[in-house]
Amino acid sequence: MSEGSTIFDVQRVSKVYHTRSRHAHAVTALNDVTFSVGEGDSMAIVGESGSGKSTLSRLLLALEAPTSGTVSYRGQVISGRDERELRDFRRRVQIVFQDPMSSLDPHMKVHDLLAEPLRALKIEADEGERVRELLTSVEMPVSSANRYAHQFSGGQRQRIAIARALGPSPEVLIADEPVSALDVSVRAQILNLLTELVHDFNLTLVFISHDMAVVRHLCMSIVVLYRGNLIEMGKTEELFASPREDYTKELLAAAPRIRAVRATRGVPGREA
Amino acid sequence: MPLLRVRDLSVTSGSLTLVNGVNLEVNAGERVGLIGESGSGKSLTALAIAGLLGEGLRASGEVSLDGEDLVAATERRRCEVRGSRIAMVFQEPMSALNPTRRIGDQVGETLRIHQGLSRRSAEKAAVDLLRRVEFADPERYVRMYPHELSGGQRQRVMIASAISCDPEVILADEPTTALDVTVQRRVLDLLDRLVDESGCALLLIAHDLAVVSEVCDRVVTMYGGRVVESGSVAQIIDDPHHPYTKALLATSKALSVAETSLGTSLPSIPGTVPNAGQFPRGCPFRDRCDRRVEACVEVPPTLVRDTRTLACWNPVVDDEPVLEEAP
Repeated sequence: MSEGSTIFDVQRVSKVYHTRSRHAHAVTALNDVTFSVGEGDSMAIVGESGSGKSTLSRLLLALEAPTSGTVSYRGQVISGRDERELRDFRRRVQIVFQDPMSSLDPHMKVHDLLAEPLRALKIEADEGERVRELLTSVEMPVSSANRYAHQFSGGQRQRIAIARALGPSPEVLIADEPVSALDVSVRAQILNLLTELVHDFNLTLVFISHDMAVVRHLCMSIVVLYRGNLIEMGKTEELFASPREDYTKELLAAAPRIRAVRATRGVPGREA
Repeated sequence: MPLLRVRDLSVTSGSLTLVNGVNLEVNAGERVGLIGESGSGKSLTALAIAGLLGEGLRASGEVSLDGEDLVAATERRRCEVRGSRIAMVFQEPMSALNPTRRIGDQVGETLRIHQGLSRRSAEKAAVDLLRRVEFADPERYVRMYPHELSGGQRQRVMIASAISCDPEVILADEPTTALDVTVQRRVLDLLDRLVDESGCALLLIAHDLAVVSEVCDRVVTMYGGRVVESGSVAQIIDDPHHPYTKALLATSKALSVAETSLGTSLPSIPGTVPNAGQFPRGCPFRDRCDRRVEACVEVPPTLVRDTRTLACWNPVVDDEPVLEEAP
């Protein structure tokens, strides 16, 4: 969908989870999914809980291997590889999770949270200097380095999680519902920050969400998942203008809208 | 007289004042939305109304249900009211439901306690309640445990439990925040229908003005533990007077699916909500406000005109309304 080269190529990917219970059937989390993400794209993966979007993110991160099909990164198949072969991949592809309270270790100071990926990936840098840079790029005071994650608000914690992801200078950022747990006003701040960072660092963005408004704001193209199947994909504005599938239409219609007059009964605000 | 009348309600924790002189009223059949960011005091206000404040928190002021003050009442009396006349729906159904007890048992519990139903008839009632909240196969679901349900189903179970004694007031604290958009739509429509059918009053707490504008008749904005503005949905959406309400509205609008577009900068409120006890003196919003004036170091009085209230020294006004000080 973009002019640049292909970053992710997902070809006929299925993922089946087998359960230990004798009664339960195997769960097909993804079923024959094919799409690609080009360099510089901002691609949304949308769907509700159970649609397979988080499974897909784990496959893109090579944290799990598909049951069938392949996931390639810049032409190389990444699933089932030895971790040593993936070291460069691990540096280049980073993730921000939904809940920064559970994704940030409460025992670690912010400095260590930001330095840990650099140490793990053996990235040579002046640690203190890099941590200050990262905090500045997410608009946090450098003094935050000496504090713990729990001392910050939800929005600030998500900034720290983003700074941590940016540490290894990735080219791809995978964001799994990064603003769903945030208030509307904080959500706007984090989205503005993400927009700037994607631009400033030339990031390719894979954005996982169920919120069509957020997706419309941040992403050029959209993949719609429904119960493990890719049911629709396309450029964002085209998909908003003429969604083909009923489920996509439902997603668009479900989002609440600001109304001066209550919609359901059409009664104007009462004057007591 | 309004069904639920909150007068000068404050919640304190030691020397910290977390909710400060809140006034609000909800009439029978009315839906009132309480909005504000996390840390504005919305949830504490609801918990204080329900008499569910945790240890170390103290409520003062008046919470009257049909003329009876619940703050002054004994805990025993509050227990009689809570669950039967005032019901609450929480944000996190997974932590509000008991993971070790069956759904039917939990939905029927309120009826056993308040109406003395036997275990058997409570379970029968639970089946009917689950049907009312749109479970297709309620006989099967009463036997299940919370972990076997999806987030949306759990929230519907919470609602079934809340409506079991036909309460006069439902307090719903961010009931759809943790849910997917399509599930949120269903839960909101369900709440809307149930309130319509029963004619009860609804106090809906949300940070998203879009949700409130779809469901409610009136809006109350809180910040720093205080009510800063209130009015009808039409008044607040068309013509917000408080800079905080205006900023929340601008953000909610920009983030609503019909208005947003790729890459534009979203309006947001600068800074963050301070921790309790760290709000500035005077108007709690003044540090983040782009309309602050010298007077803002003093707490603004709450002005009342018709159905609107406002506490701001330098309000956003288009039509220069004459506001008068509250009696």
